[in-house]
Amino acid sequence: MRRSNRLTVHHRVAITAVCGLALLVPALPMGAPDMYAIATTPLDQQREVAISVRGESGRAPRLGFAEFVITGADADLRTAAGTVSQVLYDDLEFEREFAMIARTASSKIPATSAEALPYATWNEVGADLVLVGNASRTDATLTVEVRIMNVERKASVFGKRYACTMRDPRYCAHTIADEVHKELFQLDGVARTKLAFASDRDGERLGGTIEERSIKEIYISDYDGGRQLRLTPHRSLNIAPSWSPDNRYLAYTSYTSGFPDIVLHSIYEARAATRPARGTPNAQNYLPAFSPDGTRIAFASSRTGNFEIYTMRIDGSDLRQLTSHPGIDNAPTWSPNSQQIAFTSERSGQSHLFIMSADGGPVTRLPTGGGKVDRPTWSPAPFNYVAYSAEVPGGNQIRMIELGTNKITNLSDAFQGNNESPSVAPNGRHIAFVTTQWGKEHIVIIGRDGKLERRVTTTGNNKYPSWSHR
Amino acid sequence: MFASMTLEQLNAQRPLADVFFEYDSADLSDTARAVLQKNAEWLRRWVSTTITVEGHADSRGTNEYNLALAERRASSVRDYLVSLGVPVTRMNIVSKGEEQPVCTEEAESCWSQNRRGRFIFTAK
Repeated sequence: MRRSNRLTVHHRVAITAVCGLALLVPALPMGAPDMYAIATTPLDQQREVAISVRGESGRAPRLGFAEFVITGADADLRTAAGTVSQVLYDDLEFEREFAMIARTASSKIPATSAEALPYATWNEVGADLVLVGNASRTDATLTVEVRIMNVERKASVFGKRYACTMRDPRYCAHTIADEVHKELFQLDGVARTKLAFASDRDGERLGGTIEERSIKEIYISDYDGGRQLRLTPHRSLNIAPSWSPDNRYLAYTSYTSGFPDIVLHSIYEARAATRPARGTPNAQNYLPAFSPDGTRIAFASSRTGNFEIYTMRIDGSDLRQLTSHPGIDNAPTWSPNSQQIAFTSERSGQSHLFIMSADGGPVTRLPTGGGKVDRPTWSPAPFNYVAYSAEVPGGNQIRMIELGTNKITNLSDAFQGNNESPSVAPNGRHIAFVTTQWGKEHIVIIGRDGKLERRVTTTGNNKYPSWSHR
Repeated sequence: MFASMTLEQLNAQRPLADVFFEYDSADLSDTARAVLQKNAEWLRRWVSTTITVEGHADSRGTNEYNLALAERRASSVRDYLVSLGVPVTRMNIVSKGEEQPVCTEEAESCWSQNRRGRFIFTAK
């Protein structure tokens, strides 16, 4: 279950060895996701997967979701199983590979084992497939068996037993969802990914002076907004988080020292945060972006008198200035192969999108469809688009440009107000951004067709979302 | 009076008035220049003080752009004060983007208060 770790040992050592002012910070009160070893066991033979899963004429198969069978009368188990079941349903609905049959439509169908499944009843509610779950417990181990049955053939297309922990039923469900999507659709799901963002929810509760009300801390949540945890204890302004490729560090902009620093913060291990770009009266540093290969951080700095793009190694060494122009150059984002950087610049009037090589080579302007643009975010491979915000009458909207064809698509037109700061899911299928649709600034997720998929936050103002890697 | 004040008291008294900007602009209006001329007079009188000039933006426009816009506003304020004879060594600037609004209603009456340059004493 260990995920790929692209930040090499060399770089990890570099992070711990960074000198300079240490910022003492606690780790999150939970382990890194990949520290939970969820043992999986195939349950039975799976037959004719491709034929059995795809519905007729290529439409999404209709998935019935049976109530879980709970073996044992323990209240904690009942709660944990309820969480697994609901989160799994939501995760499967999220990727839209299945057409989910609402649980209200099937709630009267009794929970049974796969062997005793009332196929005729499921057929009546229109199910092509039925997911059957069983949850039991031995001490701290939560065992969940999941089977997906083909209603017409009365045969299993997916069957696995998961030895999860009672402490983390959400991660259990996310793991199952990712495996179901991978096995049945060869899809890399995002159920185990996370979002980082800045929020003023704590400062807002405190009231007081402008500075106190404007405290923003960095938060982390599951991709779906579950388990929102505050990472930083700085009681100051902290914004613009960016994940390291191994998902163990966040780089962000912090005003803790009075002038904006780029801080590198270990999420799960208690170790001092470092400041690879230290804020001083003469060098202020904003909007860090980790390179996908984990070796460098791009950021904007006003150290020469106006905003320019820089990169540095993650320990702060080998600083390189990539742009030099009296207009604003801002908001860098890396190409998936770490060879290019897209950014905004006012070098041809209002803010446009540009691409340059990661060592500051020649600059190419991209078409954007009009309006001042901001916060480009390059999609991960194999997708090749850049999502960005563009000014329109009355606010901003999210657009994307396909880099092969320069085709521009409006993504957020269903949302009112200001829509900005897009971040792309690691499977390229979803975009998180900030909307003022509901008054305050909240983070939402839409699909590439613009459909609302999740509202992530509900309290305070929330901005600068950053989607983790897989 | 000045001599007996702590830095905190000086900051609470705010002898240097805020200056305000038009939407998406870092240009100093005549009103802003008049305010800065008074501030410069004060700074020339109390030569031991040092300040940080904070640039701020309203919530319109995007977060990332507003960091750069607010930095530009702080620079304009500093540069004008320098032109009025305040030594650049007594001033630092910092951009707060749109992150520290005075007022949080989404209306011009509020936005205009948030598009500002603000002065914080760092030594006296």
